[in-house]
Amino acid sequence: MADSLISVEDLHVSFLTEQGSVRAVDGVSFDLEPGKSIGIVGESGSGKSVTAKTLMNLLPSYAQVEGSMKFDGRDLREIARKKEKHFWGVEMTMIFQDPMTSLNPVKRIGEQIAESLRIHMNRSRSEAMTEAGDLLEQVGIPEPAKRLRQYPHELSGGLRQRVVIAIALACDPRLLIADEPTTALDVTVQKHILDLLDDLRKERGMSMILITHDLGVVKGRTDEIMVMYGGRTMEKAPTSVLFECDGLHPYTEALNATIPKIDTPSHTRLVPIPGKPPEVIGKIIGCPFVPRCRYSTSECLTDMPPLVEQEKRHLCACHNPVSTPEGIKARETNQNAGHTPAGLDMKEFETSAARSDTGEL
Amino acid sequence: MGFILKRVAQMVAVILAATFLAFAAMNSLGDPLFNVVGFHASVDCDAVLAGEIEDVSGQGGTDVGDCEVVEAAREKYHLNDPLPLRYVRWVGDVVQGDLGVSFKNSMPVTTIIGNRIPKSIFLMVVAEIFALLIAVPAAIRAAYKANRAFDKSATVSSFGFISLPNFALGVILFYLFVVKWQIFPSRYEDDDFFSRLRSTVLPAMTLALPLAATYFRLLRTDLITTLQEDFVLMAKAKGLSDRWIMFRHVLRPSLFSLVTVFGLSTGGLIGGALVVEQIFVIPGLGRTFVEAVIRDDFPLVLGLVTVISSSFIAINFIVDMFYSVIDPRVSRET
Repeated sequence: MADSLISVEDLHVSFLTEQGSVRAVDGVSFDLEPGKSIGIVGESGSGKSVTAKTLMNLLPSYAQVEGSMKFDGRDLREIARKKEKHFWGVEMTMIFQDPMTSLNPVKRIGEQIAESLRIHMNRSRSEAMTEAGDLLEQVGIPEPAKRLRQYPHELSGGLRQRVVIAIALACDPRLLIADEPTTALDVTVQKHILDLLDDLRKERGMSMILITHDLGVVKGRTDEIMVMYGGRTMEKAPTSVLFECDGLHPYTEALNATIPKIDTPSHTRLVPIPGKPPEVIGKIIGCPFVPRCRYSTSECLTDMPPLVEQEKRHLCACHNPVSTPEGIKARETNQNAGHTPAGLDMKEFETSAARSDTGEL
Repeated sequence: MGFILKRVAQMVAVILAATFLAFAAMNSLGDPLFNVVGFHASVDCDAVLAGEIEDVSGQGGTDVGDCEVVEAAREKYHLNDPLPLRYVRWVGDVVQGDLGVSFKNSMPVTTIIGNRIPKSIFLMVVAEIFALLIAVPAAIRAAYKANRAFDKSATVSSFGFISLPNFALGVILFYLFVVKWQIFPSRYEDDDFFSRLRSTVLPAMTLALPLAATYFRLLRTDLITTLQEDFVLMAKAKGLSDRWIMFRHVLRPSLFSLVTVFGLSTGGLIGGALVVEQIFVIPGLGRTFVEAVIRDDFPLVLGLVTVISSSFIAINFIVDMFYSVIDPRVSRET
């Protein structure tokens, strides 16, 4: 796609530690067109935040980055090397998970919004303050003039996240990366913030990368969804396509099962994913999800399946995708054997399924 | 405003407690009259006057006439009154600006302290300026590139300065700069500001280097901690330069330990620069204090305790006020 705003190809990020090289991101590719949004979904350690920080040039110096990242056709690593002054914070910017800690506690709200304008847009102090007030109004903060003079601790979590969004929008960026923007907030506030981000994105024709561990957050919001696990892309599809089948990849299916649904009876048990996400040290062989996957076959232990188009516009990296003949067969084989080739006890799933039937604890 | 009044009341209470302790200790550990009437002070004069004993020492020492002198002195210094009453009387004099006269040379204590305190304060101020000028830039540089060459060498040398006792450091500096290279004068000169400054550079350095080492370590650690904060990551995502982030975002919230220790050490320097005053022959408060204690010079000791504890408390009051300037979350009302 020539008209991509951001284009990532075969991105690898690893960190050198005493135990060896940790592969945080392992061959991730995606494109994002201007004005579109993509959701990157995965649990902790899946590499989603590292991907975002790589794009923002926020990684510590001991991180090793390979692959190509282009913003509007320009090489991001080249921009980083030249220490270009008015790129990050202006063309693309990022907001973080916890609004309690991502604002400087000893600076007034107004200063924190105005400083970007003064540095990047050459505004005078008073011009910047006026614009900061306008921005607060745009993100739905009442009494902006009063808020400008307040300190972060005088505001609630939801208001603070709105301030963070105002800061991010100050220089009218073309791409906004939101890393778990609502995870630290109350459920009732979450929806307001997500709706606000949606509205602002549409108003400004801005592109957005929305990072979350919660499939429910991206459902119906982003244009596209990419599911990551163990630093790899497991599944990628337009949101509508992905939710048509609730995910082709066993990991996506499992993630989906962890979300409470409004139409299921109350006291239905959620189905947890057994095991822990992997720490990928050194080269891994096979699929990283194998130890937790009930669709796995012996092939999965040795071969990482490539990311291929299983259905139209629906990419999935799995030998035995859910609801394909291979997937059904693999699951039945494992069910009969009582465990998967990787040693995962299939009974865990039976019991949680049985519990959800009776609705008991 | 009510808060400030409360703090001032607290400060006055602490000063009263400190001076009362000093007053009581001096009265029970030594005899205030010894400096006035000599050994007669320790004689049981009541018995002599009553004719029960005639010559206590058996060498024609204390007779009735001597004892009349002692009685007169007791009367003059109100020593027959109970201790609390004497303390209250002393406080009453202090409030009127009268700290009494020194037993040694009958000079008013206020004059003695007034002569010496400017030298001590000047030494303290210059020492603290040196310490901050060395410590703050070094800590910023070290924290910015933590665990690199500069950080490592600064950390090692700071350990050296902390562990070197200041009499050793003072003697080394004195030998190099006064004896060997003759850059600074060997006597304390006080003719004008410039000569006073010249005489103060070396003693101030002697005090400043270990202080700077402590300040450096505190500030470096706090800066490194602050640099890990999310808001620093956010500031980077805003595209702010490293310099801007360090000076506008990181420095201020990292000052707490530094300011606390700064207050304590400044207070300590007012009367506590004894060794340095001795090496560089500065007629400051530290030396005066030790001499006064050795000589049982009651009025002078009490005067010094009053001045030193008041300055210590005042400095730390300012430091407390400064916390809420550094961090708006520190409420003044608590």
